[in-house]
Amino acid sequence: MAAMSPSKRRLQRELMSLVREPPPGVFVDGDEVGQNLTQWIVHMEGAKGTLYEGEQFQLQFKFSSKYPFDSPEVTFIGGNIPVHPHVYSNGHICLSILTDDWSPALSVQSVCLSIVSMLSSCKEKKRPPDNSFYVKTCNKNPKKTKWSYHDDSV
Amino acid sequence: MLLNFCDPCLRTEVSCSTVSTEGYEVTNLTKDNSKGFLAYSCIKPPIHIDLKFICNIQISHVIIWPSVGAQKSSGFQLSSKAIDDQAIQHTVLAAGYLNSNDVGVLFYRRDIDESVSNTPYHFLRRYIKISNQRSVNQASNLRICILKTENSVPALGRIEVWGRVSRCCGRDVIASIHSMWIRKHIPQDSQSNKTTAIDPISTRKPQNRSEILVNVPEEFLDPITCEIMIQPVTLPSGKIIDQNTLEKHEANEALWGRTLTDPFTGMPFNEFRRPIAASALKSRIDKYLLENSDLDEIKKLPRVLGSKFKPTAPRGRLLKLPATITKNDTTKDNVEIMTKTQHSLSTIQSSCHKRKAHHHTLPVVAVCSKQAAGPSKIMKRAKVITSKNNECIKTIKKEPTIIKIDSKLEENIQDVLSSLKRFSSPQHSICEFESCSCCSNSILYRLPCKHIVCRKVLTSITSLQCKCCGTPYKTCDPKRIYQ
Repeated sequence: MAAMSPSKRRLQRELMSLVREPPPGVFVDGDEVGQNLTQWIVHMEGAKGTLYEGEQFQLQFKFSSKYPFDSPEVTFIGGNIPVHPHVYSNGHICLSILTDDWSPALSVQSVCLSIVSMLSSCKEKKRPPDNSFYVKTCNKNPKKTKWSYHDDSV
Repeated sequence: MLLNFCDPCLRTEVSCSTVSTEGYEVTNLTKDNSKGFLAYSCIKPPIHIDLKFICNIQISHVIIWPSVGAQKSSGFQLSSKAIDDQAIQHTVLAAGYLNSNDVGVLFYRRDIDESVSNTPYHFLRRYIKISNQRSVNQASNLRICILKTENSVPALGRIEVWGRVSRCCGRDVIASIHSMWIRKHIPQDSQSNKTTAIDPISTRKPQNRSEILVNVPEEFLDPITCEIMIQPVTLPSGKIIDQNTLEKHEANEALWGRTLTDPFTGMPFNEFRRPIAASALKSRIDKYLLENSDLDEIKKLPRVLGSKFKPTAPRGRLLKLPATITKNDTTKDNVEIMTKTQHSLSTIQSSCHKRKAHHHTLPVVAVCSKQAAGPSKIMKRAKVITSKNNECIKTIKKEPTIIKIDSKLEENIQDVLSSLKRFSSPQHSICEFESCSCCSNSILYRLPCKHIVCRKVLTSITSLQCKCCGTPYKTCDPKRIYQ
């Protein structure tokens, strides 16, 4: 068996800590993720007192072998994709830490927290203005999109 | 539960009928090292290797890897007995002769599913006779006889004897042996304990590995990659990461066209906020690595030779100082020099006090050892100088001898003080950014003579002497300046 790659080791530790003490509203099935460490499904719940209260979402994380130096590919999947000005209907998320502002010090947990807070701060449920055009033309991998961040308030 | 009775945790005793080659003792077979067993070079088969188990076992299957390097045994016979008594003969269980393309041999009971053993396809497969129930189901000794070799010394790379604790042993024995096995093979943090019994061979190695990782103190692990740090550096944010991680981060930031920043805070580095070597932690890690260097995981780790972060010259010069002070000479301006000395002494003292104060108010500094250890050492030295100087001054008062004080004293003190880190007043430290003559925006280095050169110039210097003043320097002296 080949030596455990560095990204695996880090992912293993992140999984352990996420399973042991998950942030509120976030849930990871350790056994399911343990099968394939490079692709995680994280279950998420809309925070209480926000527009998304009571809703369930699934986030998919895909890690390259260069993780944590390279950012993970994060998209919403499943039947319920949140209606939010920064989330496209194909599940792509417009969030700077997922591409440009990624730092190896960030983790799955901090990304989850950022997304929860992004959802929680929403005032009005609507799709991004360029949704239909983007969804038709974009690449499957959100990291291939050249994002321009027009809202710094989140 | 299936256990491998050749695992060191189950303390099987192993012995051999002949002498072995040095370093390839038969006891290697029940250890975690992978060297294997080689008989002494003149020994010819047949030879016996006897295993004495901790309890009676029900043998399920035996896997034999017959080669050590180019040496390969090709004929094996398994025999066992239920009572550990010299007088009793072994009962033959199975025998097998390998072809040249067989990598190993698997002996298994006809009544088990051979896929359980998970051996590769090109292993020779042979049944174990179960006609003599006691010697298979309650074996206390197992003898592996090497009958034939391929023009080589009798060799045995590795063996695994899988089986269950025999039912005749009683419940408490079974439980205690299971707990010995579990303690080693199922790490507390892993969720995969279900797979151990089903898939023992393929899961063995990763388990050993994660077990080692569990034992490594948390502070020795890089918070970003979770690996043991080889060359820890303290970041301005206080976090300690590996130099290698920082370099990888730098390369990645360069892809975005950005300069190196602290990965935890995103703050760019500069002259006062830059990574420094955490040498106290490094020496603790080194000690740990040395003590555990027999572990495979640690053997593979790279080591660091010498140090990039060597302290530069001035300290050495300071030590020589007292000798020159006491030299006698007749010069007119001795009074002036004396006042100068006293002045400089008082600066040393006051700065010592200052430093002491900082030393106390910033206990965090203890982490970044070299910088922290520095001041206190120099403080001691400075004290030595003051006391010696006081003596000098006394002698001057007693008898009017004229003393020449090294005119370089002032300079030396400045030199020492400037190399110390000041936590309170960063603006105070020397800040003459005279940029390099040829370009101002490339990577700059400072030489020990305080001249600043760019990378291009630095690499063009072959004589190891500063281009401006001709001061020689060592290859490790130029320090990068972060702007």
